[in-house]
Amino acid sequence: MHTIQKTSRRAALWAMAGVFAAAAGACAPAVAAQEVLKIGAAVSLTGPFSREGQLLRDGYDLWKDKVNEAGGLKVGGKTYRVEVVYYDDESKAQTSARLTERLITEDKVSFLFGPYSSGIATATASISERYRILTLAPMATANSLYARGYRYIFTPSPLADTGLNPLLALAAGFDPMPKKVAIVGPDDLFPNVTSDGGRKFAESHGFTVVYQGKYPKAASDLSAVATQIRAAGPDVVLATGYAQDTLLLLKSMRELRVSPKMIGLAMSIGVEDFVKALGQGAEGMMGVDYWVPTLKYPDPLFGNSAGFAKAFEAKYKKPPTYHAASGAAAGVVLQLAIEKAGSLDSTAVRDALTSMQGETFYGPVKFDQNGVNALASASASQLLDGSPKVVYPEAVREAQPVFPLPGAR
Amino acid sequence: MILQTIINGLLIGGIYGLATIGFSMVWGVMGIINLAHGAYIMLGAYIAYVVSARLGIEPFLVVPLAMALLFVLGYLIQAWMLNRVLKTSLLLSLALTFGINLILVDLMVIGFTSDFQAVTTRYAAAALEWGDAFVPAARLGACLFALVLAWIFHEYLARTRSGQAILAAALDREVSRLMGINPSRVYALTAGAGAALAGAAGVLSSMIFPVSPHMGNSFLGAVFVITVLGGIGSLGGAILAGFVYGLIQSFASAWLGVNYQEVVAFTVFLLILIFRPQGLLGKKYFGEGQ
Repeated sequence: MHTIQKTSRRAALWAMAGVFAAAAGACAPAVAAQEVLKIGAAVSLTGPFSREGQLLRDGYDLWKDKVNEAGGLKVGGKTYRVEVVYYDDESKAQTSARLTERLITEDKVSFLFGPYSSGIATATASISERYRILTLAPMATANSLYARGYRYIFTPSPLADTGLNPLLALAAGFDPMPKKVAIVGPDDLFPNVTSDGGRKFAESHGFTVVYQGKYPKAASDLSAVATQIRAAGPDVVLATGYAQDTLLLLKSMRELRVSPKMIGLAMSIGVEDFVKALGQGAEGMMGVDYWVPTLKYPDPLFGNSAGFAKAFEAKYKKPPTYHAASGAAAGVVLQLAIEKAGSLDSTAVRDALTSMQGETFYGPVKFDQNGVNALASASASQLLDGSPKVVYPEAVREAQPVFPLPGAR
Repeated sequence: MILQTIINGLLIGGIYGLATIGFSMVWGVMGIINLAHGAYIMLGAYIAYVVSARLGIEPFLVVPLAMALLFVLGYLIQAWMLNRVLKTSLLLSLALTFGINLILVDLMVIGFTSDFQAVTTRYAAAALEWGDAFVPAARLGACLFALVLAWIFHEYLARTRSGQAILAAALDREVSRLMGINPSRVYALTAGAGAALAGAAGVLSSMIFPVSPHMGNSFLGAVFVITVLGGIGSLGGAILAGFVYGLIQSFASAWLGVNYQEVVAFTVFLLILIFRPQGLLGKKYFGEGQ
């Protein structure tokens, strides 16, 4: 009795499986008509860069959805459905390099989307270069990465050494002009390049750099840095760090009453954490954005920046930051190049990239042989009444900048 | 500038000390290096975040709640898992606590995402002025509170029966058993108390540092050094070493640059291991033979 029951149950399961298989089979021809284009991305979903890594993935994902919604990617008469294979690199360069190799050799992806941060991309770029797989790395902008003669890594974003330029250019226009500048950030590839680039720009524009400091990336306490900044007495404090350490720095500065006339970050002030975590204390702080929603460039997929922002909000229920925008723009750039090349071969698409000039909602693109976008530029935003408003360049300005900060001494 | 450097070091040192006591006691009594200790601190910070930032309750008032919850967690983990492993090999306890740490951190990532949260108090920007130096109110309050908790725990060890049992087990596990002390219970009690103190340190640090699931890991390095510096299993040593560590970091940052604060701290750690392996206040019998 017992066995019979068991057998019949198993038979029922098999029957059900059969039904599903048949149903799947019925759908199969429709799916099979479209081939799949696989793109690999090892991004930081946990660890110190998880915040930025997730935003970047959101951008990649939105582009993928949008392309598939529009019927897929057309390559020389064939249409491909886009699929992105993600791995979590745990914010570690070694892990990211290992996962990149796995994406290329085991998952057989045709192209790569880059990781978050230049330090990690430096490790993955040597892998993708070896296998000659084209990488679009919108959030890896350290100059050194594009000065090694690598042929398969491209970034649509402005390079790191220009990261503080919008803030300094804005400050140079204030009356009276703030003279003394402090630049501070964690000891890491991107922050260091940004810091040194900022120093050069500042000195050539009539500022005096009274303090330039580094702290360990994983520092648990930054009150010493805040103390040193206070002793230097700057008018402008520019921070080149990432979300976590910058938050800690700003809290420490507030506790020790470091109140300069202007506080600017080399990253977006639109990252929710800042407003949430600092509350009223974040008011008036400035940040640099590689992209702002007020940009007016036309885009073949999203229409323009407003179209991108709308699509992003519909999918993620929050306004986009430049991290996500850069991710989606990287997708659009790759798409333009693939369509131009009419091929999925990395070398052919690479050649298409270096010979094309186009526009996405993110801005104009024209790549040199090193993978640098010669037409990229950034803008500056300020937190006013709790929300970021574009204040520089003036052509896309949403609000008059507030300067000096209230309570500055 | 020097005065401010001393103030910075002392204020952070008090919290480091409190964060270390539990880790040091557990190590001294059972010989377990509890790698989940940082996660306990992180859980305390999240309890403060949930109760304080979302419900608007004063963070200092959350300390008893966090301590109670963490006590239960620490007690149960010890009673159900670590006590079993202790009978086999001490190395296994490293693997087990490492795993517990991963699970706790990832559970918080799932529950709260890896976003950085903050507990912002009314007095977040308040500070006492002392010449040209500032004493931030939140840090001062947290440091004093930490010292009071350390003193209460000291009194508990010195004056209660169960406290004496913990000290006895730390002195000699075998003999304490002959005296009628149930080691499993004492171990669970020690682990619970250690977790409770870690939870309190978490609540206090939530007012100063950004709260994230990974915050415990940066504490663990400091806690480890302070434990060895103060002497394994020594409560007074942990507090004293907490201040010393805070000052070392603070002065290293001021004189050599912030980049060197950890280099200097770990150099001191190595020197201690070479010249005074029992630590500042460590007694030889704490943790002996384990």
